[in-house]
Amino acid sequence: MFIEIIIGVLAAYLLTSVALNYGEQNIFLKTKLARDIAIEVNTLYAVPGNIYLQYPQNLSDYRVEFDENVNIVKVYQSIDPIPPSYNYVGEHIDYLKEYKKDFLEINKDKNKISFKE
Amino acid sequence: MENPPVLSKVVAYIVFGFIFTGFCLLLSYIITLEVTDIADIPKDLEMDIFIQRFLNNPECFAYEDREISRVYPGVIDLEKFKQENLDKCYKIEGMQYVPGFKLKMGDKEIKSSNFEFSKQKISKDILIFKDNNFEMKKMEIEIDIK
Repeated sequence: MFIEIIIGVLAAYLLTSVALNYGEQNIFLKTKLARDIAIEVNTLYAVPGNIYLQYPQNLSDYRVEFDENVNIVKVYQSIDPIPPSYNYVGEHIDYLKEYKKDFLEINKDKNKISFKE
Repeated sequence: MENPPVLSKVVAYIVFGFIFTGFCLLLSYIITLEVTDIADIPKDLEMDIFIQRFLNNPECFAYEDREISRVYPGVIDLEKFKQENLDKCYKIEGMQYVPGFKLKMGDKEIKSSNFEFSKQKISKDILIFKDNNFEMKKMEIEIDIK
């Protein structure tokens, strides 16, 4: 009986959180942010010199994570069953240690990208 | 009241498991499909950004005057136009959804490791630096859109 209750609660939580995510249209915004940030990183490599950039969107409601093993940007909220992600192509990146930032500040110096902590 | 037999309970769990998994998969498929359409980034834009990287970044093929540390965006140093530099500036190991490129200039041809089939072809007039001279050349870019 105990197992049934746990499974039921988990299933209800999963479906509710997906439905809420979808209903609040957060999933669209998170997907857009993940793609936009990945495109921005790609664009920085297309600029010949050094560059400093502040991402204009306030990201205080989200966590932005760069996965260096598979080169993807993930944007998610604290508990997120489906974190949207997008590929970027690049190396020489000093990755963010703290994923929660209000505004993302990106610096490219001598072809090396770093994020302001 | 009599308890249901253990076997029928297990069968019920298995059936529920299949139905629930199928429902979740269907839900995630519908959501992914719609989200992908709404938050889509035009493929042409993405490809153009990568092409600009090849032409503007001194780690790729852009000509750089080392004496004054000046990069000439859009000008290709023919010495740099080689496979090794492409692999270095367009590192895509293990990535599935990034476009593949085949670049051809004169008799020199280089391509990214994920290039399989040409799905789009672009021809660009490019200023190149060769033997201390600048000259115009045609670059053919074939793209394998993933």
